[in-house]
Amino acid sequence: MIQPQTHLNVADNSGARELMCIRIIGASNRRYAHIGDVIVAVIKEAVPNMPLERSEVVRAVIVRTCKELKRDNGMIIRYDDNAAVVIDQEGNPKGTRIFGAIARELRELNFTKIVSLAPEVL
Amino acid sequence: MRLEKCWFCSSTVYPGHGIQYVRNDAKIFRFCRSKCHKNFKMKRNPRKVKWTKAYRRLHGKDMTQDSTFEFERKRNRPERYDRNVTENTLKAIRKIDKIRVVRDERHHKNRMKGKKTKEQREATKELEQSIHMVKAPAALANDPSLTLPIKVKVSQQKSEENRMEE
Amino acid sequence: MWSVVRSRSFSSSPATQQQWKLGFSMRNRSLSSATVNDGDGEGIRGEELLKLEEVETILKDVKADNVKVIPIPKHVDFADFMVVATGRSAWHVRNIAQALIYKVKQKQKGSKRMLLPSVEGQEGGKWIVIDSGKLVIHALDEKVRAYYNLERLWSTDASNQDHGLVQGQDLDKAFLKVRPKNNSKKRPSTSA
Repeated sequence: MIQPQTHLNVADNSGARELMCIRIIGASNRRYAHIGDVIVAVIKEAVPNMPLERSEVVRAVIVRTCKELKRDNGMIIRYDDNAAVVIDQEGNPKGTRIFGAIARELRELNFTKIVSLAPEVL
Repeated sequence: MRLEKCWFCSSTVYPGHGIQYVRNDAKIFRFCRSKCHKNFKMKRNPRKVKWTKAYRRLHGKDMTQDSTFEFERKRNRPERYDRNVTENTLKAIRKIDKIRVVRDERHHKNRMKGKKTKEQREATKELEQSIHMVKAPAALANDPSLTLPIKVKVSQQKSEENRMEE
Repeated sequence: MWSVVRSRSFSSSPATQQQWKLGFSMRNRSLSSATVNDGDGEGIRGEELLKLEEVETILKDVKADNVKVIPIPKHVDFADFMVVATGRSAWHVRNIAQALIYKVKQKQKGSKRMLLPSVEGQEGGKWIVIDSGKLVIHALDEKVRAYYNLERLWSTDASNQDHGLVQGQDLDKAFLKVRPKNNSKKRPSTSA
């Protein structure tokens, strides 16, 4: 359940540390974004000497949510934090490595690039 | 399909039940119901909560080492389907379960072995220590402290007190 | 996009039934059971989607550079093999992807229902991923390949993260400036 003003952690080494959601892409009047949704976000905190800077506007894919994720087989999964991965307009991740566990749904939503950079797919 | 064990109470988690919590280091905690999940969120230690299997194991309430538990081990290699194997396992499950129940009962019996003598010993001790509190009915009848006049006295005192307050 | 999903569910159904019959459970998560048990379903699937040898020959035919097949360690169950190939230009990268898709289509010619792998990043031409279930094929630009360093991530798990951080600094250059320069003359010498 990510909505505008939600702060998210960054699960990659792109240089951003914290994001704030400002828009959910996909529909005009959408309330919440879930795992696998693309959002527009502002970088609230960044690592120094990296290409991404504070208050830059980027696109990001949500990879983990505290809100439970329900699968078709009845499995319910909850993660530790809200986290996203910074991507560019073409869908390529900005960072080269992704940290932490990532949901399997991303692959079905055509984010195989992110999945193949991740250490753990659950 | 796999039947997992609940992280908190070690009961079986059937598909479609409970919830999984994934920590950021990718460790998965599975819970069989919201009760276990809530207890986890309260940071309770399952070894200190009396209704969990962990507590019972730790305190010697249940069997801990038994060959019947070997069958319940977690296997990471998927087995190929074989009709004969399946039939045999289905038969074996029933048999193993019976054996396990018998052994469980034996364990419980062993655990409760000294209970009767212990209870008797405690009872005799209590009898010795507090025999003076018991009085015969004849003695009770003669006892002035338990007869009516004193009660009246008490009520009189009370009335006096009431008067004083007035 | 749904093709992979569909094919996966299709192949998983017999496998899960088997497990039901077995009486006791074996696989970790039920979703993963579908993917792992594809070993049995390979016969069904192998006809429809790509095989490792076919991919290799196709990549050879389209002259993709530096083809690497990386077996994915067992504990990660999202795929079995990862193939990484380099293209000389955006056009070349796209061509590699096209060739693979063409092959899949040709294989299923005449069948009632066509199963296509999901393809990602086809417009860009920097990094195209063809996800055909158990086999994931990456076609990358040389710069992008060096930047993401997929081989390092999957072949040796240790000590890749600090490397990634160092690489992260020339992010913009990798995408924007340097590519046209490299595209011109240096490439044939490095590839040959």
